[in-house]
Amino acid sequence: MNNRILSLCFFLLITNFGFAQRGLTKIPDTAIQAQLDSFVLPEGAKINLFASEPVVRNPIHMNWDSKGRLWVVGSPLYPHIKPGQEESDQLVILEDTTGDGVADKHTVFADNLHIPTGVLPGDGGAYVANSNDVLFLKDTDGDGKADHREVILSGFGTEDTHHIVHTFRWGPEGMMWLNQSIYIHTHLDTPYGIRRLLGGGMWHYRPETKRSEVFMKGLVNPWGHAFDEWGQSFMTDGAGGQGINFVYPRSVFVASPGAPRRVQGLNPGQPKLCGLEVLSGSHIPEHWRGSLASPDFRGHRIKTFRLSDKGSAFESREYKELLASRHGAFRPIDVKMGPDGAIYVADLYNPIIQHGEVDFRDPRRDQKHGRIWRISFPGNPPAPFTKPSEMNSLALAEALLFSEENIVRELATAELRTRNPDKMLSALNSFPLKDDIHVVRRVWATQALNRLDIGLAKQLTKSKSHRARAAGLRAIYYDASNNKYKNILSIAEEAVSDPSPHVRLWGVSLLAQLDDPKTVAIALRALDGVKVDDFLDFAVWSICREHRDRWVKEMTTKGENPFDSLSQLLFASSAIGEAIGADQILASVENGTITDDKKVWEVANWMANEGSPSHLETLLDLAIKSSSVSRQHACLNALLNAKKIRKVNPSGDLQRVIQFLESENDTIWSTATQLAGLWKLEVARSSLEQVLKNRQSKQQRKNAAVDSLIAMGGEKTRRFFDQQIVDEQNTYEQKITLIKGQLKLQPNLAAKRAINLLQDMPNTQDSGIVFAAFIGNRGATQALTNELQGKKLSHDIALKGMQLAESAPTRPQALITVLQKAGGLKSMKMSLTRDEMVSMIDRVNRQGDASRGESVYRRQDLQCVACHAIGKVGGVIGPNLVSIGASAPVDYLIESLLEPSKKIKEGYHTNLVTLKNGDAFAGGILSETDSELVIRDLTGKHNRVAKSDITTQIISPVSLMPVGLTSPLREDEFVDLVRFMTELGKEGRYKTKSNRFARQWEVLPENSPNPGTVHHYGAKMFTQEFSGYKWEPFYAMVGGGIPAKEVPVALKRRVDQYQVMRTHIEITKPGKHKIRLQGDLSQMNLFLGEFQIELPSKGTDAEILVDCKEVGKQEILMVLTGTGPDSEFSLEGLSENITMINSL
Amino acid sequence: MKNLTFHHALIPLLFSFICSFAFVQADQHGKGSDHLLYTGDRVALVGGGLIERARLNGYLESALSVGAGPKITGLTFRNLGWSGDTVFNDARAYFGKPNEGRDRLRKIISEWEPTVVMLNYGAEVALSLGRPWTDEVLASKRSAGDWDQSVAVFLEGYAKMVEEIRKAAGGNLREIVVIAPPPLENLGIPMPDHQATNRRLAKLRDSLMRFSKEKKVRFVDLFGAMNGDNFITKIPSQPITHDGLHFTENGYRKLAFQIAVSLGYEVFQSDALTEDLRKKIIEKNRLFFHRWRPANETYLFLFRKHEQGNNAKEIPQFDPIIEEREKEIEVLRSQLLKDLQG
Repeated sequence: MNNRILSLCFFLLITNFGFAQRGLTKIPDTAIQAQLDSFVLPEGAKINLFASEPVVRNPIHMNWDSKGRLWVVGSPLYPHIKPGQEESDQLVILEDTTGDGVADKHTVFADNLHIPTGVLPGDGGAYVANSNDVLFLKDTDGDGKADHREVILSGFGTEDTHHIVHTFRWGPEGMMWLNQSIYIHTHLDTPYGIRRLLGGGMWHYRPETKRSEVFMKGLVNPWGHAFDEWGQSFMTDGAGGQGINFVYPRSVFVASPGAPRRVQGLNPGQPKLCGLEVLSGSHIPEHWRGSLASPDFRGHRIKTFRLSDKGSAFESREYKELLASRHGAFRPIDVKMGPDGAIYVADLYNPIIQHGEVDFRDPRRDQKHGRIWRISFPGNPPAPFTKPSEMNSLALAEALLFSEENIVRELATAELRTRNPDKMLSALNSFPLKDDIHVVRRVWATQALNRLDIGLAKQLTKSKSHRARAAGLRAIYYDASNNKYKNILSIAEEAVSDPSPHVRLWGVSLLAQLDDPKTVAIALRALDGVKVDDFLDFAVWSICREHRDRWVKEMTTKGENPFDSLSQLLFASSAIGEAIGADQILASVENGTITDDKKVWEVANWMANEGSPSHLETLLDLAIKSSSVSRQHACLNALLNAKKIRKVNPSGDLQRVIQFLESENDTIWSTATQLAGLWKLEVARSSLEQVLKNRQSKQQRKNAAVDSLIAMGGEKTRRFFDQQIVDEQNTYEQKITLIKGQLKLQPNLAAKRAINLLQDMPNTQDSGIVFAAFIGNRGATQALTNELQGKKLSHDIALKGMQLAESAPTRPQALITVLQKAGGLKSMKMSLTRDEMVSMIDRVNRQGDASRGESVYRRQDLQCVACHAIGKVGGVIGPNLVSIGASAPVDYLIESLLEPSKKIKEGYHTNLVTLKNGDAFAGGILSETDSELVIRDLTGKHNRVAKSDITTQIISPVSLMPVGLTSPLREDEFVDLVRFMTELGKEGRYKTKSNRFARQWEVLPENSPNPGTVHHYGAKMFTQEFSGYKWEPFYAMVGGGIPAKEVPVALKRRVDQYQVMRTHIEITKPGKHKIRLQGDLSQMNLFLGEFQIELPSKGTDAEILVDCKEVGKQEILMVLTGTGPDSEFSLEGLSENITMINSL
Repeated sequence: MKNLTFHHALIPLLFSFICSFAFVQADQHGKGSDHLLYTGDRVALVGGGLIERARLNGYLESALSVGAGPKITGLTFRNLGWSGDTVFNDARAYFGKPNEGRDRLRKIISEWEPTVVMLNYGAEVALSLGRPWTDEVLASKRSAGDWDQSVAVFLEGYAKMVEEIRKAAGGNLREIVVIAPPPLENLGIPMPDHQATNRRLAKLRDSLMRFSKEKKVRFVDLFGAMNGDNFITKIPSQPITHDGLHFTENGYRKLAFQIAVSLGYEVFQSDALTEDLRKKIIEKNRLFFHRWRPANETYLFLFRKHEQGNNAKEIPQFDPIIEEREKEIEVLRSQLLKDLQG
């Protein structure tokens, strides 16, 4: 053990010091030049300092006013005010009076703020986010300082000061938009009643009417919101990983508390992004225009994305980097286009970000510096800018309608609101409008005056362009709930049948605002005749629920389907989670009107959740009558869930299920077996016992038989289990399977038997299964603890048990203690003393090798990739590590590897749910309804749990990451691993590039079975469908390459060997599309579907045109032949029409 | 020190403070026969946004503490208002279930042991006809029913809250005061017309009056005192609210005045000293807010306290600073009252 990291970790720690990180890393050079030297810019771009400390300190948010001045709020008080400290954060106005791109004038508008996280100049003053409140500050005497302070909104939560109300922006329609984040619970008293938002989400507020409404919910920490040219909203998330999120009314995203359903972002696997702006205007090179820029504050860079239409929403593709830096304190957190057409970046300037994982009072927190950077393109002239504040009505109207500079239109909108509405309306009406976009802008301008031109808005809904139609619907949407306008229903009705799914989405959103009893019937039509994506499906699902009472009342009073079709009724009833219309729908499955397998599953799942005993009886009938395995499975699975979650049995004769115990299909057999147990069908007992006695039985069947016998219970089960466990004839595997059952019935006896088994367990057996079973049940844990008193276990087995117990969310301390004694283990305190930490950091910096570290990271036994993704690929159980190196100090990384529970990333807290029978489930809550919880556990499995079975539900202070994962490592390997992690996201090799590499692959394992056609087909054999192939996930390295030596040799035939991998792509247009291959081409064979792609016979880098005839998802197969290259290879999509699919 | 005589008033005499000492026959223990406040009283103000925002201008506390007169000393106030709160206290629940908000209120009440608790709820009910105004599981759906049902839910919740406050406060609790919500102000188009809401508020006032009698608690008809019964529809030339619901500074002066008068206190005029007092009260309230509703609850006291809970030690460090401010308030108050007497 000498050479192992274990030696370093396994000792008794006498004192536990709280500030392991204090003073351990180098503070980056604070000189401005140091930052300037570190920037990496695209071609033709230049960066200069616009403003810095002491004028601006720790800037958080900024916006321009209609005089072309930049308003910036910053907070040295963040993260928490100290007792005795004044509320002294500042709002500063910066001005470049000479036009040289540097702020030469500044005014402190307010200096008595408390962690101001948003600022929006307008309406003659400025709106400021001030922790609990939104303030309106105004300078009434013209001295440039605020002398009037009014609370506009109050009741925003402050449970976490990097979540408090933020991201203020004027919408094109003249409302203030504002966001809050996951831990915030907001309760606003408004003159329209209380409005609440618990968790993340976005609000809009109209100053004229003082009306605040929630627009969407969810996202973890959404500090970015921008409107595209047509007024659609996009958001980014500073703690989520889905890049650009397309948001629309009532949409619900990740982390919204208690949400039964959520929609996804457009770029899964992206790092955390803070801020969002559409790059626009004549100053920047054309190729940047229209792309969305968002800072990756952990990776010290600004990423960009390009959008295109897709279904009811959008597709977002990563584009080039706008800016990158190697400076550890460069923290871009807001980006805004400026009046001169340059791009402005707020740099919080801090080597430490946020305060969850790093102490509030960590001395390395910077509270002095702050920078505003300006990116310009000196080859291009500055954008033309006239201050909207100085424009007359006509000029202002013209700018609003026709300016091609987004920033001008934005600032003109704010200016417009301060002018005389009648004058402005007549100015706006004096220009003839040609294009749809100009009509949209006029509608917005009238709305920004709170005088919506409803006629023009209605006219928009009939435009040629679908984007204009959607914009028209959105304009009407906000005020539709007031019954202010006539004939809105017919507009919505037309929209839901629009050829464009995007317009349909807005049609449904508009309907949700209306009072009409028919809203749901109309909304459901949006599902017919187009390809329905999740966004549209969600919108319809949502209105079915929100307007439930309307249609259910009609259904129950009239007794007939209020909709056009049965499948609409099925959709609506499943959406609300009730059995309304079940008789009709089941009848049509029975009589063959509904035949589609997918529909049958939908019906069965719905009945599982909502069906009455007689509905369930019909499902059993259907299973028996059907010859289709899928249909049988659908029905039996539904019956099982009905029993497990709701404790409901079918009416009628239950014994009929026994006939499925003849089934050849393991899944059908197992499902029926579990039902037999839960329904207490004793007739099944003897055949289940046979399965368990038979050594050859498949594990799936054995597990089901154990469950079933437990459910049947009684003396017979207890006797059978124990007899078999003590029976010398039985194998270890058989005994373990049975002990796992016994511990639920007789925990003490099971513990005795388990200890006997563990004491003479051969090395080939995995003791972990036994420990995990006991630790997973509260009563069994207790029993094992009692029985282990005074017993001995081998060192390795006790160690295994202790590792599992240490990382169990229940953290059974008593068990840990007895295991230590039983195995003679030293206390497993996986922490370092301060001196050890210092020397470890030093070794990481001096000796660590990131490239070797990446191989360690990818090692099978460490299981890192199973839980963590880096960028787009890898597991989703733990946080994405894409930029961990750029954001986390070295000591934090070391500590997290050794003591995973010490600091837990937000959103990765473990929920611990204990059931009445003692079983414990730990993981993230995926969804929640009145009757059940779905928990995703460490293995990624979705566990459905009946709420009625739950005794306790808490947030565990223990990380899901097992303790001791790194213990098999030698110390040098550990050092390399840490070094690799410290490089992740930093400028260099370990920053995920925007190149579209195929990153998620599947490989065939070593010695895979094959259909035996290799000598006919060669490599092409692997394109054949063959059920014996067991594909396993495999990921590219951070740089996109695949180390050939890590790919298993699936088949070896004399000198030939085959390494087989596949990945998936989506083709959006037919045609010849370009890909790029790097690596030894002479050994590659590439297939698109079954067609071989011709490759050059030699070389190491080639661009290849692939003939893509069909659109949609397709498989790409790569077979390496020959002796196997020792190098790396990669596959990259170059054409816009190919998307690499990097998720399963 | 500034000149303390109230004839030197530097502030325009917009607002009259209130004072009872000249009129009430106080006994030698400083107890007025029918007045709310006694020496050493600890007054908790509980309600929604109306109470919460009162902390920012200090008028209500100034009016009550000066109004109590020179014989009464050692008054302390805690503003426990919480925007969006209801009689179920669901706005105070943070991450918990709606009823955990009640636990939070109970906790502070039992820790601070007020002798007087003043309550203001109800505007949210009148504003939410047909829509749920609370998230409390057992009440939410019924709260969206017709008016009678909604009021029944409200009074049910109110009764339970009063009972729980009594229990939590312990033996020293002497008085509970129910303050009817004031009328909403009609500000004209495009702001909402509150005529119907005000008619509902009038009914709610009647219900609360009966309720107070039944529960033997003191009642303040702030609705009537603020001219609610006249059902003014004309748009005021000088509004006293920002948005019909939330009062301006001037609005809070009137409100404080009316509450104090309703409690039987009499009037005097404000001066520089009362302004100093009010500012000190605002500062004390700011500190107390950081003490009892600190930011970063998640890390300090809730489920991430294993990460940053060590910083929770700072929070009680506000206590001595608050006490310091309260001593200064007491000094200012006694000077002020001495001047008035002299």
